[in-house]
Amino acid sequence: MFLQHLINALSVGAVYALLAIGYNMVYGVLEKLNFAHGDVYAVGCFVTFSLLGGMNPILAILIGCCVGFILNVGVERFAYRPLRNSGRVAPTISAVGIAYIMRNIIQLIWGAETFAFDLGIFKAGSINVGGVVIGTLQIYLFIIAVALMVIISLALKYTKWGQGIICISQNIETAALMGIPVNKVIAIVYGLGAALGVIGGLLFCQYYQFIFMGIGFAYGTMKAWMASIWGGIGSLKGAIVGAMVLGLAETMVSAYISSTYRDAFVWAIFIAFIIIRPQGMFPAQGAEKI
Amino acid sequence: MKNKLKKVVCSLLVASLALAMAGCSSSGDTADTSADTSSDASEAETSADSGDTIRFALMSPMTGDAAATGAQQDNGVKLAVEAINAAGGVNGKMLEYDVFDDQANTNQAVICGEKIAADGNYRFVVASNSSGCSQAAYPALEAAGIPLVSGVNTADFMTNQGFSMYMRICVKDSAQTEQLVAAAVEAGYTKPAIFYTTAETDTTNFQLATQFLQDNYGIEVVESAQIQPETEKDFAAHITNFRDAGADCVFFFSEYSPAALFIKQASTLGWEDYGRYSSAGCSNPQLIEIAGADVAEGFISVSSFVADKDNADGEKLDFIDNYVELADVDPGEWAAGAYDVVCMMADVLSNEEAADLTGQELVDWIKENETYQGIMVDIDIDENGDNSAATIVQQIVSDGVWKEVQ
Repeated sequence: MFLQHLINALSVGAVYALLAIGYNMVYGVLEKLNFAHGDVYAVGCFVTFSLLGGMNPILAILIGCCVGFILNVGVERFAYRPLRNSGRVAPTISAVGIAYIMRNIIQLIWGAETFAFDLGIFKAGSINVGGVVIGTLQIYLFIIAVALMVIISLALKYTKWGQGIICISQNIETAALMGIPVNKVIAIVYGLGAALGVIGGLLFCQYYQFIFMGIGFAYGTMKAWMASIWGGIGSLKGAIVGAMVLGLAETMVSAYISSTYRDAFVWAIFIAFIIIRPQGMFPAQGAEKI
Repeated sequence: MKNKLKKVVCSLLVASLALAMAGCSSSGDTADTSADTSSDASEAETSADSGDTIRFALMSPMTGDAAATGAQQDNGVKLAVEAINAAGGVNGKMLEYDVFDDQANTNQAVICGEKIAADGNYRFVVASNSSGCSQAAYPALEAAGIPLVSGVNTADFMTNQGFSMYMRICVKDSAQTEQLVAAAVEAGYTKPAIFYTTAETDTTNFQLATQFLQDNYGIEVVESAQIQPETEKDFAAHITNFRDAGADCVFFFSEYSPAALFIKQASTLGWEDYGRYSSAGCSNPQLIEIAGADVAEGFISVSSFVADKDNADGEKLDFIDNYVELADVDPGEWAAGAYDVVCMMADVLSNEEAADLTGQELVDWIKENETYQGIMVDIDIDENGDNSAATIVQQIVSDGVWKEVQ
């Protein structure tokens, strides 16, 4: 039974990891709480959902990603950029406002109902290994999360844009003085974060085979944020490990302690952890010239 | 200069937003008031209960996690209003209604109740989906002398505490749960597990089911799990625990969405050979849509309303057809209950004796005189405000649709 719970936990962790990668990318650059992340990408997910019936699913996913990208670039331009130098409180409030607006837009267009969801790409199935059931989709999700992490890490390390992003995450003013187009790069980071979020959100929906207007906040934002803090801000490896830890904590608490008070227990563990290690398990490493 | 301009622009924006919010209120239009999803509705122009109209309010979650059931209620009310008005209204008076969004939140429900009471022009209120919200709003409505009538409040406590202006047409939880438990035991299940949410109604149903199983049949619940529906969508841990505890059936006390996800995830984990029984909250076509017809096959629920066209005729069949045309989905109990409440109240107000009655006098007249044959239930309100004529039926998912168990 423990092994089955462990597999379940890693599956949940893989789903959270997909959501956390996009979030961590944005959070890592500006270190500002983006409470709108999930609700913005949820719009992209719903666009894909609408297109699935009469379109190639890959094309529908790409269009959803583009919508998420454009939407978040717009949100960054008009809701975050004017508040970039206003401390932490004003952008946070602005983000919460955007989250509500996005959620209500979804409700207005698609309604508040829960819909069945299937991308039509993955063939559902399971493997039974000594009584422990592993879903094939669980395996796919884990592979996709790791692949995304590797691709993004390589892009950050070996491309001009990637280096620009890392530079801005270390110091915006210095980056600007070095000629990096700060506003443009930050806008692109937001856009990419949302596009990645759409992919994560769609895979989340595929895993649970439903979509509803609440997928953004409870999962996209809160879980991704917790995973990012747990793993280490700005670290993609940390986001994945943090997501796995979060999945493990939630599943094991549900299985062995209490599902009713699961969130309270998980938050207690989380708080205890950040008191001991506020920088997370694998914080982003930045070279510092002394 | 630039700062001054910014201040002016900000002030204009705030003023525009305030005006826009005020404009969210419903106009009480007879044809379409569903667009109003604001609890600020009553701040709109209150054209009063003029000689040509009868105004009533609908309290329902139009936003938030329970908005889907709120939309059903609104659609049910809309169909009833359209049908009654198209037939000439109530003694020539057109029905108008405003929607108050309680978000299935008791704090918001109190505000809605106070706004409806402050308006002073509503003859009655169609109660919220949530018993807790109806309870929260009731004191303000009672003080204003406005009857509160529910189509779907099943919590026993609603009619146990002397709410003299409250009536409901549905069957209460204890009766539903007792029948559900009996159905499972008669089917031969002896190792039940219970899956329920933190909602008060579901928690009460869990306690009732546990008690009925033990007292009436000497059966112990082998495992249970209480979930937070808003934040918990992965039930693999509970499924594993239920299966390992040897459960041969599961009772679901939740809305359709968590139950659908549970049976779907259980199927993915290879657990399918167990009985599935639920309270009325799951008796919704969307359970089948989300879970998939194959997975949902054999799922049993109890409810007062089944959108089973093979066993429907007359007004009920028309209602199902019209609802599908309006919402593109089969109606559930929320829609049918709201429809019946409005039709019953229209029937009451069309009676010469009751036409001019309001408040407690109106409620007392209904309890003493009114009997009505609705599409969901027959209605005969007793002294406590319960519907003594209400019945429930078992329904089962068969070939991808809900069918009444004959």
